[in-house]
Amino acid sequence: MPNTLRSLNLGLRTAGELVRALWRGPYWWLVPVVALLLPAALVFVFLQAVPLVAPFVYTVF
Amino acid sequence: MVVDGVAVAAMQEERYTRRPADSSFPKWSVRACLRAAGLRTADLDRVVFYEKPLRKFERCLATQLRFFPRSAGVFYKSMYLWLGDRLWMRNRIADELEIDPERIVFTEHHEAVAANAFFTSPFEEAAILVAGGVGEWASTSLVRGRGHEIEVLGEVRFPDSLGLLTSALTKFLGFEPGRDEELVLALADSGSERLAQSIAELVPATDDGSFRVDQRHFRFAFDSERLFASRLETLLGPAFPARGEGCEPPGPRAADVAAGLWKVLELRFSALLRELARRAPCTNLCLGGDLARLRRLNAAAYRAGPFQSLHVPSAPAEAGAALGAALLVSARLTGERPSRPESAALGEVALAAPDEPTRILSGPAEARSLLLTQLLRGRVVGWVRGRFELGRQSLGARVLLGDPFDAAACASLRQIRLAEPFAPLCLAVPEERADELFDIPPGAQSALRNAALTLRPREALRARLQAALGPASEAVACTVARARDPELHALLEAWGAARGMPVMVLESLEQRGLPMARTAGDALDLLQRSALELVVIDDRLYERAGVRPLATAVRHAPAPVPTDD
Repeated sequence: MPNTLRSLNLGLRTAGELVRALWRGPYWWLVPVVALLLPAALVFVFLQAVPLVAPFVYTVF
Repeated sequence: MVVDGVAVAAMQEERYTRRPADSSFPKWSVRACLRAAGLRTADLDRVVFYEKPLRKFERCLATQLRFFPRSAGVFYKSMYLWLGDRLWMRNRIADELEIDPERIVFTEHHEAVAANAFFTSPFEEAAILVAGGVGEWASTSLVRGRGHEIEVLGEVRFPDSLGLLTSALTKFLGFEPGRDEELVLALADSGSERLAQSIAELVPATDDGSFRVDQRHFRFAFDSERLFASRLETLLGPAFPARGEGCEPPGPRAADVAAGLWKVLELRFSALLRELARRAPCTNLCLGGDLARLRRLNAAAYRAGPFQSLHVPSAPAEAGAALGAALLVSARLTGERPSRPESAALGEVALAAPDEPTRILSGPAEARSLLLTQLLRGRVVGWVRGRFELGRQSLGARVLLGDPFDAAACASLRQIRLAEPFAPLCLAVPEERADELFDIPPGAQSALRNAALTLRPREALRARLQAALGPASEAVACTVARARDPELHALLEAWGAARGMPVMVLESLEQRGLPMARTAGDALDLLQRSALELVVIDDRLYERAGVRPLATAVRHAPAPVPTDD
């Protein structure tokens, strides 16, 4: 489980970095699009890190 | 792998997985690098990835939206790839290497490419042109290297990209993009300039030495499969079917398209070099990126340009960028310039195969004499020794050798490699005698050692070497310095004494569509699969008749996985 939490934590950090970088740059208008896409992606990252669910990740989606 | 500012290992994953340009996580090459340095992942100060995934994602998303609705068909696929995998590179590296995420860093892609070009060069200061497909946003970067620093002075931004334009036209002609661009340029001399104006209008020049690419004719900005739009076919005629094995040589229309592309590339590349010289006044030039793999373009642009010396690394594009990223991070951490790698042979030695050799040779002298005897009989021989090199062109460690004066040997060598019959071959010559063979531009020694230029042999020799040359009567020139590779140098000298001129065909030991041989097993596979009759691997001679077919699983038993014990 610590690995799963670490993955989620790292994923959230990457997502935060992405949103911050977009917001500061000329492509700030992408933030709403990313805000829609990222939650689904984070679920994906989280599921991949859970050993029992990982083999069924394609079934989940 | 860079240790104390010295590159100790660098290798491409494709050599391990045998999948060309393999983009999967490089776990085999990571292990091999750790093995070569005698380190564990816990010993690593930094792990660097050679591009910034977040900026690249920004570019992909913005481009997909900009080209909507044309991009609608590929949006889902692209986002699936990015959101499911590529965006989370820090997670991936941390998980695969079991390393603290704080030690993972990212460099700009073109900085990494430029660092590879500059830190492997002999120059203290240089102007660096990085021109390729695309990094994060930049498709072309004008860079200055000085001491341990790399400074980007200007860039051309995606989707205006000469590299992607070349790939799109390569695909249009039925060749494989990412692999056959050089073949397309080799064709150019047999074409007319009938289409040059139409192609030039697709890539208008701008006042600052830059250029634009008319995106209405292309799809490469958002679709990595179909690189050109149907509008291009309206302009240049129908696209050519994909070329397979045993295809007829391309006809005059294909040559005309190639000639038009060549003209545009030459003009725009030269303009970029002039602009680079203006922004970074310096006599030394380093080239990097996908376009630096086009050796004919390197030679033409350097000759026409304002620079007096040139360096092109052995792997100017993606594979070299990983090495460049590591060198750059080392330079930034220590504040010192990394040591220049002595050679490109940064891979592993050839692992022994389970096959019985036909004969064990007593040493390098016997190997040389055997190779010489076979070459004089007109045979093509394989030669495998030491660590394999980084880059697409082997410079002596995994090679096929042949007689360039013998048309049958040249044809046989091309057939073994499944190469197109018009592909120019690489000719190796001792460095001190290179001037006798080629008309060499001054200051290009460093690039020639990495076989980075295509040159025309001197008039007196051209007719005799015709079989080794491409349609433009040019060959790839590779000079061999005695101090860097005494064994190959001695072989060339002995060959020169026997044949009159110390020039020999030196091509990578590979077949088209497959990565270059890495292990003895790979070389023996080629021995069985092709018309190659013998291969010398270190001090062992293998003849085809004496090598039994072995199951792939037996010959290629995976390398042991290092443990932390």
